[in-house]
Amino acid sequence: MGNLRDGGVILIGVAEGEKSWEIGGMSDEHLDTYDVDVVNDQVNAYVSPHANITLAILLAQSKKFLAIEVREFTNSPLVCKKNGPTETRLAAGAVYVRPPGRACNTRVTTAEQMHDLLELAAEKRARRIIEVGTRVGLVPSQSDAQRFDDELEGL
Amino acid sequence: MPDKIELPVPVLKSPHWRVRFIPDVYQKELVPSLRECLLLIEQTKLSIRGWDYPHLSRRESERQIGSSWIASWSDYAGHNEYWRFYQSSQFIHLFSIHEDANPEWKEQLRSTAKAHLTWGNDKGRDWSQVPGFIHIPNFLYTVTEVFEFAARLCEKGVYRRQLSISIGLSKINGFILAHNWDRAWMNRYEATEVNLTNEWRVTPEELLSRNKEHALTAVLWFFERFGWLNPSKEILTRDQDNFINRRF
Repeated sequence: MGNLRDGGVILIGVAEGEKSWEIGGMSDEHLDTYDVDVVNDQVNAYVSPHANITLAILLAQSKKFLAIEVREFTNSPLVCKKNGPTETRLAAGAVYVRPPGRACNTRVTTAEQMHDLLELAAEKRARRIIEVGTRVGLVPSQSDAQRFDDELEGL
Repeated sequence: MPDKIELPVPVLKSPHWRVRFIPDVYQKELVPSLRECLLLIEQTKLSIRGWDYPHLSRRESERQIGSSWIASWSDYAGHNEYWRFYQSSQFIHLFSIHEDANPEWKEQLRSTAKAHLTWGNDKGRDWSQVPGFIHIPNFLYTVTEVFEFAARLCEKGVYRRQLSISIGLSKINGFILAHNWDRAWMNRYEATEVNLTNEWRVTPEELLSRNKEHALTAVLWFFERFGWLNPSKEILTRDQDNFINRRF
């Protein structure tokens, strides 16, 4: 999700059934096992440069749920930095993405997936450069253009 | 802030140009004083032909000082114009399309166009119904003056980074490009829009070294919007050089 435009949210406490969702919620004991620092440490032990994760407890229908928000990467795409346990199939140096509309993660294996990811990174980098340029006065900001317009007093 | 400024001359009521120089960064008092604003205009205005660009009236009654700008205007023999130069270095200039505002010139162009454009769809055309004309050399000269004036302000260090030069023509729907009698002219190029405006972003270095080319790019942009897609750059460049060297 961190390599996905706008990131994503993992909701714990619901399960996808055959035809409908089972909204079971989480027990307090189960909830207590989630600590934001622990989750961050465990995830980021495998992620480079850094996955941005926040946790939130949600209440609905008198039940508790845990939302794990994963934000889109900041500058560089997220890369797996070490091999995981065999069952996770995490491989050092691999890049994982979440295909649109599918609830699964896959290793980037096609040129198209890699192009999409690199394009997203390039767009973000370009925006960052423009933001910094605007802040330091290299790029005209909207407010400057507006000031020049205002100065004319409708002329 | 007033909704609209009441101008001392009725330039906005008839077909007109709107030229604006907009620096990339706003600095309210980039030019430290209004006196220096006036000096800058005096030192940089073009006097290539009989009417300066921009025209700085000698009459005190045709000048105005605002809180952060100086202005001048005139309403003389079809030269209907108003401009302001701000301490921020923003410049705005509104001026009539002279060949439209000057009745004698307008009728002369109507007569020339009528004589040249006698083919195809123009055969039997009621030329009295054509609302106005754009004189091609005058258009070229005016845009060249605009870019040269901007270049001279760059020379003075007024514009140090990127500058936007906005040029617009208003109320020109149905206007036709026209030339002098001595130039072969067989095609009708007509504006179909009421207003045409575009903006060109240039650096001081580009303006100082290639302002004529930039002016020509702007001219060609407008001519295309009149439907003239293949003007000879060579001829226009030659006309432009003749103008700059006062051989017109």
